[in-house]
Amino acid sequence: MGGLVNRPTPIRTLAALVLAASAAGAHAQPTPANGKPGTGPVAPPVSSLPSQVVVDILGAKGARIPLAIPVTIASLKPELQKGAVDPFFTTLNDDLSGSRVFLVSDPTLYPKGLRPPRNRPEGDQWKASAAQYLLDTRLAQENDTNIVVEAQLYDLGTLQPILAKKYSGPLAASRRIAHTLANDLTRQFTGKPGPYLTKIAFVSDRDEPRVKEIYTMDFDGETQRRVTNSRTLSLAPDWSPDGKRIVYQSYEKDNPGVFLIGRDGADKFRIPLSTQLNASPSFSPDGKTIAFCGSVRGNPEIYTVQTDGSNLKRLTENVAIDSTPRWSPNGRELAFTSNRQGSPQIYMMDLEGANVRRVSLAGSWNDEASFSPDGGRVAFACRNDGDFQICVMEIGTGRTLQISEGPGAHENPTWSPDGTKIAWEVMRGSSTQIAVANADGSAMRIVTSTGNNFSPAWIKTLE
Amino acid sequence: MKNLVKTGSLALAAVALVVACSPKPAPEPPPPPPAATPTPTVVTLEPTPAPAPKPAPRSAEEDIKAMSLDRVSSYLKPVFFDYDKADLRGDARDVLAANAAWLKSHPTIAFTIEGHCDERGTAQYNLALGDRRANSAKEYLVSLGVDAGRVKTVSYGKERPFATGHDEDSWAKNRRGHFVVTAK
Repeated sequence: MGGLVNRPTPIRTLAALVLAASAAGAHAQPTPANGKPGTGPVAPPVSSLPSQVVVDILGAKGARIPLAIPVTIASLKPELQKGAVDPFFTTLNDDLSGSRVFLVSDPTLYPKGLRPPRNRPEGDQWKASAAQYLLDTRLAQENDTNIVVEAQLYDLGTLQPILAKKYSGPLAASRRIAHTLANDLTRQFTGKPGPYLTKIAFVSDRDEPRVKEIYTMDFDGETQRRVTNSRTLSLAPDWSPDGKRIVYQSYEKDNPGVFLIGRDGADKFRIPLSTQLNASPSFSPDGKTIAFCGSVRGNPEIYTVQTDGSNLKRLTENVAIDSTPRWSPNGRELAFTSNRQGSPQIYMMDLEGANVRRVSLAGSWNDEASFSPDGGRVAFACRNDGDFQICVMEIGTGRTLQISEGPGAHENPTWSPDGTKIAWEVMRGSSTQIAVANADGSAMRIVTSTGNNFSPAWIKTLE
Repeated sequence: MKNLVKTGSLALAAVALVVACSPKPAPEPPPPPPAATPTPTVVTLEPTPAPAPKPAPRSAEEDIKAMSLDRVSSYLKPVFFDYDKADLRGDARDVLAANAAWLKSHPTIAFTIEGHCDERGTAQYNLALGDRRANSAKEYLVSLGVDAGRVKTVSYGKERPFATGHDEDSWAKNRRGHFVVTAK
C-alpha cells in the first residue's frame, strides 16, 4: 500500500484528474450531490460566485486575506491517513502559508468542531483566530483507487460559502489536488491561479562525480526527475514557452553545444553551431529563436540562432566579455552581462544589438538577469562586498531591493510564471541547493537536498 | 628466463602507472607547478624572446611514445590568472614559453587548453571568462610559433575545480589554463 501511495503520479494520470464543482455550492447546501467523478462539470467561472475580493498582489501592503485552515476531516484507514490525507493537508498548508495572498491564522486558536459555523456565535469563535475566511476540507475514499476531496470556503462575516469545489483522483494525486485547490483559492481572490502546479528545471550533480544532469521538479521540490542522460556536464536549462522542451548547454564529446530536449527526455537535438563555448541558452518568447553566449577565437559574444541552427547572428561586438543573454517577455530586447566598463554589469539591447544601455548601476558584480513575467522587473545576482545576493530592480525607476540574505553565494534567480515567486541557488556551507521564496524574499524554503543543485529555471506556463 | 623477468617487471611498471593515473577526479600533473604562487603585480615581458627553455633530452622523446596521455600532459605546465582577468601575467608567459619550446621539440603532440575559474564569479560568466583564459594561452603559444592546428580550447568555468577549498589558496589554483594532451 505504501508503495502505491508513494509512487510518483504520471502526468497523464494527473491530466485525468476530475475537477467537479457545483454552482449550487454557493447556496445553503454546499456539497454538490451530482459531482460524479469522471463526468462532473468543469468548475464554474469565478465571476458566478459572490463576495469576490480582488487583491493587487504586486502592490499589496497588508492586503493579505486572513484565512483559517483547520486540518482536513477524513475517515480513512490509518495507512490512507498517512498516504493521502497528511500529504494533502501539508501541501495545502505549505502553499497557502507561503503565499503573499493569504495570511493563515493561528491554528491553536481554532474552535473544536463548528465546521461549518451555523450561527453568528459559532462564526465569531472562528473569527477569534483573526480569520475572515474558513477553508473546510474533507477527504474520503471514493473507491479502491480514488480519493475525493471536498472544499468549502466560508465567509465568516456572512457565514455563506463563497467557493465550493470537489476534486477526485488517484491516491497518489493528493498533493496535486491540494495544489489545484490552492490555485482555485488564489484565483478566487486575485483573478488568476497561483504557481502551485508549475515545474522548475535545474542542474544536479547527484548522479556521478564530474557529471551534471538536467532535472525537473514541482515548484515545492517534490517529484524530482532526471531529464538528460549526458554523463558529462549539462548546464543552464531554460524552458520553451509552451513548457514542452528544455534548451541547455552540454559538453557531450568534450565540445560544448546547445541542445534541445523534450521535458520527458525524448527527442534530444544538438543545434548545429560554428561557434565555441555555446553557453547560457535562452528561449525567445515565440519559441523560434535561441539567444546564447558563443565564442570565436576567445571573444565571448551574444548570438541568436533559430532552433534548427539556421540564421546564426552575432548581436554584440566588443572585446570585453558579453555573456548570459536573457530574453525580455515581449521578445524585443535581451538583457546580458558585460564587463565592457570594467566590472561585470547588466545591460540591455534590442535584437539588432543596438540601443545598448547599462541597467545595473551600483555594486561590483551584477549578473544573471531574469525578467519578471510582466517585464517590469528584473531579478539578478548582485554583489558589492561579500557574497552574491539576489536583487530585484524595477526597470522603470531603477529602484532595487535585495531579497536574500545570509552567508553563501546566492545565484541564478528565476521567476514563477505568475510573478509572485523567485527561485535561486544558494550555497550553504559546501552544499548548494535551490531556494524558493516570494518575490519579496519572504517565506524562503530550501526545496532540494540530494547532491548539489544549481541553475533553477521556472517553467513559463501556469499549466 | 631472463626475458621472463624483464617482461614481468615491465608489466609491473605498467600496472603501477595505471594505478598512479586512474583514480583522479582532477588531473593534477605530478610535479607541482613552479609558478603557482599568484602575484597580483603584472609584469609585462616582451612576447617573443622566451627565456632559454631546457630542450627535452633525446631519451625522453622515446619515453613519450610509451607514456599515457595523462603522463605526457604533465610536461605542459598550467598557467595561472588573476581574479576576473584573462590577461597573461609575467609568470604565465614564462610558463608558456617553456611549454612552447617543449611543444616545438615534440611536433606530433596535439592538445587542449582548458580554461578554469575560481568559484567566486557566477557560473555562466565564468564559462565566458574561462574561454578567454584558454584562448589567451593559445594565442601566446601560437605567437611563439606553435601551430594553431595542434591546439583546441574549452572552458569549464568553475565547473571542475582543481582545489575544493573556499580560500585564496584554492581560488588561485583554480584560475588556470590547464593543458591536456590528446594525441602524441
